[in-house]
Amino acid sequence: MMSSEWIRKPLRFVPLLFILILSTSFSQLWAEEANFRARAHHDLSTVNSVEDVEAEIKFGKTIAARILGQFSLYEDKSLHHYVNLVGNSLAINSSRDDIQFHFAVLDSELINAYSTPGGYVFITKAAIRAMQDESELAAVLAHEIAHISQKHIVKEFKIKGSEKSATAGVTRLLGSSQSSTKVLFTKAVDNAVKKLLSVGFKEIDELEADKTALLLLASTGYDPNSLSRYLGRIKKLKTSSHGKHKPTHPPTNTRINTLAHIARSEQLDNLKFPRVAIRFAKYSLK
Amino acid sequence: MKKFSWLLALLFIVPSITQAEEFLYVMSARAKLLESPKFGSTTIENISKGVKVSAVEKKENWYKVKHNDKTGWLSRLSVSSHPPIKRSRRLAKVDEKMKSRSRRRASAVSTTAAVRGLTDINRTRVNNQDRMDFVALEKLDSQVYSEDEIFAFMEQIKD
Amino acid sequence: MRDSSLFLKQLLFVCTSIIFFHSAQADEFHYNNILVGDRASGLAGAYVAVSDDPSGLFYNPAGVVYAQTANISANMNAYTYSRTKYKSVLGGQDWIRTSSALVPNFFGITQPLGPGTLGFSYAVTDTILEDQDQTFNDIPRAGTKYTINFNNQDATNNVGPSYAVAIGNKFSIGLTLYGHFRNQQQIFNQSFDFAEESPDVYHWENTYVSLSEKGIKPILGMIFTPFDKISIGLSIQKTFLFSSKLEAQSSCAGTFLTESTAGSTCQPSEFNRSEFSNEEEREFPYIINTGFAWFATNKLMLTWSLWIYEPIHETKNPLFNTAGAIEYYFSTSFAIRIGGYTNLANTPDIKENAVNLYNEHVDIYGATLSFSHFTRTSAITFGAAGTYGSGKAQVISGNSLTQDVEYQGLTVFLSASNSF
Repeated sequence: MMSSEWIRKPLRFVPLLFILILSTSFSQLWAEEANFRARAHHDLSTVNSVEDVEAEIKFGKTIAARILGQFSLYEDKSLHHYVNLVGNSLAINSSRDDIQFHFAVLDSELINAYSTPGGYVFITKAAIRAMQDESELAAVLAHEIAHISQKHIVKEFKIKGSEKSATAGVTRLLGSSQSSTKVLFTKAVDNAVKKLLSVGFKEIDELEADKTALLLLASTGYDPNSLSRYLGRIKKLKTSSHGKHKPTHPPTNTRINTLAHIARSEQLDNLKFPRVAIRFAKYSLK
Repeated sequence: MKKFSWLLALLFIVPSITQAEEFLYVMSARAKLLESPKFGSTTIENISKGVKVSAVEKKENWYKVKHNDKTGWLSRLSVSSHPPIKRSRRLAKVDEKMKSRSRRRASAVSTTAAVRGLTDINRTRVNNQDRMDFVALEKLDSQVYSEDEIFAFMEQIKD
Repeated sequence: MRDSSLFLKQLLFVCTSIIFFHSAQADEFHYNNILVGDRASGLAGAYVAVSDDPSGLFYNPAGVVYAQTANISANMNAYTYSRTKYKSVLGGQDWIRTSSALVPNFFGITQPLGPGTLGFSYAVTDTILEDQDQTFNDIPRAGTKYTINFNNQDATNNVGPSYAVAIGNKFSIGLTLYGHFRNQQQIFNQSFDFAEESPDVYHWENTYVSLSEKGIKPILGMIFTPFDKISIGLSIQKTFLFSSKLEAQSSCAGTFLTESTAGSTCQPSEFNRSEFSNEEEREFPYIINTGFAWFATNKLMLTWSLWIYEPIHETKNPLFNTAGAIEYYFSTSFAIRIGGYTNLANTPDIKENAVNLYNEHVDIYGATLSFSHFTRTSAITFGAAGTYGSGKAQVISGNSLTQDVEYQGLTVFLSASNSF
């Protein structure tokens, strides 16, 4: 006969303990997570190896080639030169010293900008036409550079260089890396995830890109409020029509509010940093 | 029990000995060492890329570091815990193999998904059927700007 | 003549009923027989507060939300050898049972899904491949030749999914739902004969037992991070059986009346055959596993675990097992793990001069040592666990004769993990 008395008594306290623990956890919900669990070898996996960067650049080039195949380049050498100088000034302050950034202006009437892994940033002439000063151009480019520096696409598509070490080879032999179970499992989950949650991931990416963009603008010396200003202006310019696309960006008002919140918490709202309107007028579209 | 007590004491001492001094490497070409952890504060000095500094404290987006005799703050964007790796010159040029491979192989990834845009409205479809322009890409790749040129441009960031 | 014949009868009766109780439950008398998972094995199983990789799916599923890389797969292959010596069983001679098995005893994989992490794992929680082939020639007063051939295969597998989610920054909860599958097959063959004294007197018996259990084993786990670098883990599990089927067939022949295994009589001078089946489910206790881990630096970690088992097998007080370990990184690519653990018997102490229902009580202690080599996405671990135990047993069922038992075991394991 099992006597479970001794276990039933303390078990009654478990739900109470559970609630107690939960309540203390929630109070720290937005606190920065300290990653004390990472062991010394995790440094190895976070290091960007040359193979990883090469894989990223290769991937980015094919995407960039597609964009260039679809849009033609706007032929204005001095504008092109100018955009590259603004872009590179920002990029030089990002942590991606391992790639060469390239900026180009697309001949398109749609207000938009694109970035691909590996350092390619495209901005449309219509987008530039809606700008009033260099800091706004910097803001748009900074947002795109942030996607690259934070490796959003690299992480989403798990772009990695192949590992050539002996240990990796042995691991494969022991069956840990290439088993069919693993492949089936991850494929199934990936598909499910894509269906359910692709929108969610991208919203988090956008938030991070906005935050990094503000820091990048301030690091380079531009007025960080330029991004909110620009977004507010183009919202009025554009006609609606999201159409069937699922929005990956939060609605503009939400975004501007969030930007204001970030600026306040990062102490960026009272910086009297330059907008550089004069130089912009010299180079920009007539 | 006595034996265990000194073992236990050792276990507490060991971490403090083994606690490695944390180092950071400057990643941006020229990082500003600031007096206080906010943008706009006085620049103590500029530190160039690749320099190793020791990290003393972390506060949100800022690291308090020591470089030579000076102590100041660096933005987290400008540092990394790993030394910068050299830019790969091998892929500076698009190779012929890549062009033909890309044309033959249907992309596993929707290009639309692999592009990050600025806004949603009027998000143009960049899809798999479109042609690829490697000539334009090569032209784009060939344009390189020197650090001096970029720094000179940055100096003129003023109203 | 009469004297030795009586003695012989007693001896025979005694010998033939050994098998059933004893070896069928050999592994049921301990909970910590096998260490599971590459990192956990090196840490002597003190993993409930760490659990942040696929091995964690088995110890505390709540930990996998803290994995450093999203997708990981890991497997482990182990070779286990053990040797149990029962001293002076038959006329001063020792009875030795060895067991060895080479099994891929763990596979686990984790993948982020929605707000949490999904996992899937397979673990062999117990495996025995026991062999005993001995012939005793010098039993006093009888001049008997006694031969025993014993073969026992017993494996318990757990396989199933897990899901865990972090709630806030300091707390996570997870659930693993294992299917429990046990398969045991046992063949026991023994014979007596009096070559010189009475050539017409003999006894022979052969018994085959097969046991199959199916059930579920849910493991509910929680991890709490009260302070920086300290993690506290808690898990609770219990195995619930859906079905348990035991079937036995016994054949015997001999020149005098005995009782065969499973209780049927063995009529002299004829061929006897009997069958036996049983659907009685064995007892599984609630098991609480709690512990803490101190991530002192990114190179040093200390961890300790305690298991509390609901008393079963007619013991009155809960049983405790404990494990403690240290993990130290010499460099970013090389680490060592050292640990120690207990694997105590879940049976009451053997009362001498009485027949004990649970006829073995051996307390086992183990130590582990492993080395790991890391690269960007892979890790290989090589290690060993050594165990030693001593205690008492009443190998001869129905007889209060007690033997001293000595147990030694060695497990060597090689495992790999891969993040992708």
